Amino acid sequence: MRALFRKELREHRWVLLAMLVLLALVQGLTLLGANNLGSPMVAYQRTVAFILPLMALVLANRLVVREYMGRTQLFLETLPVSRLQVLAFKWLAGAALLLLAAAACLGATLIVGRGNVMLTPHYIALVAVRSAVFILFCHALTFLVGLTGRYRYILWGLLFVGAVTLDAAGQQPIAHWPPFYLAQESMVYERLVLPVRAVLLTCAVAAALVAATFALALSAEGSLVVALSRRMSSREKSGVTISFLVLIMAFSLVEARKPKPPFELARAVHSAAGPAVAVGLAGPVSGAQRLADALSSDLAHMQAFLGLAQAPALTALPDNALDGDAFQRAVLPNADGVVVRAAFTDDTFDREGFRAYALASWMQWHSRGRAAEESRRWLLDGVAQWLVARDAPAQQDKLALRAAFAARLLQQQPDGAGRALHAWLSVREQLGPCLADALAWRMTSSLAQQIGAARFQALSRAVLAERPPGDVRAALHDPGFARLLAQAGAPDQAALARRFEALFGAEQARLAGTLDRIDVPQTRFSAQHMRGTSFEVHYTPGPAADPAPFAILYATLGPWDGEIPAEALSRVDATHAGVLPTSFARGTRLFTALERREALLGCSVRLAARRWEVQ
Amino acid sequence: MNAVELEAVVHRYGKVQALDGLSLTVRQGEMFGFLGRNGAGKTTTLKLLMGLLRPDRGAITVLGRSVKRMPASLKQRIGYVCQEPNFYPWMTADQLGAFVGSFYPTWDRAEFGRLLGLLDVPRDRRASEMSGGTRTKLGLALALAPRPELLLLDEPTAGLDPVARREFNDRLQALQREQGTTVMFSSHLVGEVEQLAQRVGIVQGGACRFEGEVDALRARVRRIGADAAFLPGEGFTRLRGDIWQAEPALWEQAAAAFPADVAVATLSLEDIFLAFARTDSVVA
Repeated sequence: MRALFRKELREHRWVLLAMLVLLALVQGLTLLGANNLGSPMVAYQRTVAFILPLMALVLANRLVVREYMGRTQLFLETLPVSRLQVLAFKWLAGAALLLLAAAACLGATLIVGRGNVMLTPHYIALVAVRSAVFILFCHALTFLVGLTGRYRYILWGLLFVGAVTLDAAGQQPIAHWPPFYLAQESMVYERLVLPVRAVLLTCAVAAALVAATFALALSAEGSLVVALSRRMSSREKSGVTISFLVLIMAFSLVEARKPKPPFELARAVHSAAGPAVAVGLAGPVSGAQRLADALSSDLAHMQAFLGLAQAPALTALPDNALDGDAFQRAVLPNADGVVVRAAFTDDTFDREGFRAYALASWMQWHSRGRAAEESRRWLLDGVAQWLVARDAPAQQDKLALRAAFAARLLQQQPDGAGRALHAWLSVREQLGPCLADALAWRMTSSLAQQIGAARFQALSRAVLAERPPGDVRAALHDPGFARLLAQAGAPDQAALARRFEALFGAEQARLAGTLDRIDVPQTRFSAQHMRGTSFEVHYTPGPAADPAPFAILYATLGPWDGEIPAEALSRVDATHAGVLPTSFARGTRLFTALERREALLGCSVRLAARRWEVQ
Repeated sequence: MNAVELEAVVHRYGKVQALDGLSLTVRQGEMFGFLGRNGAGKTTTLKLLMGLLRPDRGAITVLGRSVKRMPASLKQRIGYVCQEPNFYPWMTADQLGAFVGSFYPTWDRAEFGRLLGLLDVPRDRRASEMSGGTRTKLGLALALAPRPELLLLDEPTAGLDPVARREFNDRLQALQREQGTTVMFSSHLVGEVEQLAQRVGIVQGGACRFEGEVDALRARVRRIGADAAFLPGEGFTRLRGDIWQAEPALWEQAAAAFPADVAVATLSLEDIFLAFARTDSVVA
């Protein structure tokens, strides 16, 4: 066995070294950013959940696949060592290396976390047992799949597709199933009780995998594995690739065509006529009924305008935790329909805003999210507002004032209209939903006026009403917004930007008297060093004529974060300067903004919104 | 004691019958040639002897021990060279020697070095950079260095050019003479077997058609040049066409009884092999 050990070490030393260096780097970097993760133990959990399974895969590839595919296993078998011994040695060597790596990572994490985390022997033992069992499961799985030789990629593909299917179809996400549950974040936070059932089930699965490994490797004097490890012929490769693609396409088609059950709400009133709308009860029935009928009427108008036949049910859920002008859309993985939430019974409930939000959500659903792509999102927001306000002059006046104020804020920086066309999500983040929707309405109604009703309807249908296929074919069906503008006979985006720039200026001039009465206090956010790498963030609203209460919104950002969903924003209500109720590590990327309700505009105004780095 | 004994051995690969009641004996210290066409069952037999495969039926004894479960201690007494050695491509000859040697308590490092020199195998060249012939010679050095009691060679010269083949065979003969090792080698090259082997076994269709000394085989099989209607009589068996086999004594007795126009000729081993390769009869 010593000779085998020396041979394996010599054969795989560079790969092992590279893997260990990578592991140390990843573990080191995640530990450095541990404050962002909440606890250094999260860094260890991430390593166990993501890096060590990858390491197990590489190890299985080196220890098993390479030996069999290179046919050196046949040479090894001629030596005075049994097939069983060789296999057992390789399995144990791989397991030992993975467990040692995990132990080293845990050790490093404990050293880093000893000052910040309460580390009891019981807790450490819980974490160690969970991670060890999970790692052994990964090793057992990768080792067995490795033995299937040329079919291992197919097997991995099938396992992946199976896991995705189960994840989508099951009541629980697959991450909550026993082997995977052990390596979830609960590993960090479950400090007292070992999930015995999950541990035992994982052990049982791992034992079954090991038994299958040895049965496969030793059956038919090892000739089965040797046969499996032969390289694929070109015909076999083509056959497998085509079968796999056909399988995925068939799967996605079946999945796309499978009707999902409609979302059902128990305590709700339903629209009397027109498209189906259900509004959850959270106050007088008559109010809910009026809202349901109004939403249904809006949907009917929108269907007629966009030429849509299909209309899934729209459900409005009451949520009194939200502000009156804040709305959210629920994600429904296993049900059909559009579900939106708002505080219907709040005094400040923005009914028209909510109706427009519901229409925009419906269009997003219909276009499978394409209508919400950044290049065309302003048109989506604008058309929704335009449909709701087109027969309501009072609403149009309100939107015009908001839009003018939004333009004033936007044009504090150069090329405001250009940014609104090309970087709408940034503009929306800067202005907040209320002002951004109003600005979108202004741009949309101006465009409608410029190109005429028929062309505007054609453009809206082309941009918002197309429902792309729900699979990879969608990529082949994307004509692009600029092309759709040209097809509808609308000006190109440069000409639109010039027109909007002039429009914004004119509107501000027209409404200057009112706009000048709106306070724009200069708000400042600053990071102040606490200790180590920790900082606290102070907010200081500038002096305002009306010292109204305000809200501070903030969110930490990852390196690839795009649009920040409303539900990801944390909120602090305040009346004067203060400190955010959490600390931040140096280098944390933050989004901060101040929102205050502006009576003249009838909605919340977002000020001093920006993304910045704590240092 | 015989070095190798196979008794009615049967082995199948799925639906393919590789060995069908093969019985064979290799005596201690002899060089045994194992002749057969491709697919006749030679490699399967040698793999069974090495314990790489297990027989479905029958008994196998190697160096006095049954190989139902091949213990490492028995494997350490056997040297094996397969048709295409699958050495670790990144190992040099020296590294392979160190690796293989650690499995054998009787490994003779000096002997391994001497064999490498003798067989012209470069010590510091990786296996992946060696020609097929050099790899085979390296395989022979690795098999001989532990000074095995039994050497099993599976068509060792199949990939060698005529010069290398002659050189390899000469070395093999010399080594066998010097060390007294029992050698069992398979081949379908009749001339090679004729040159090296003291005894031969001819395997066809998974069964042994002849086992014995080469001279005895020649004495047993002859061609009768005669009219097709002529039959030599009881005790003679037709192998193929005009080639017949019978006990040598019977040939002597019958010689006088044959008509004058009947010519009886002895055959080369190759002709005899060809005759066996195309018949199902078994020569006891």
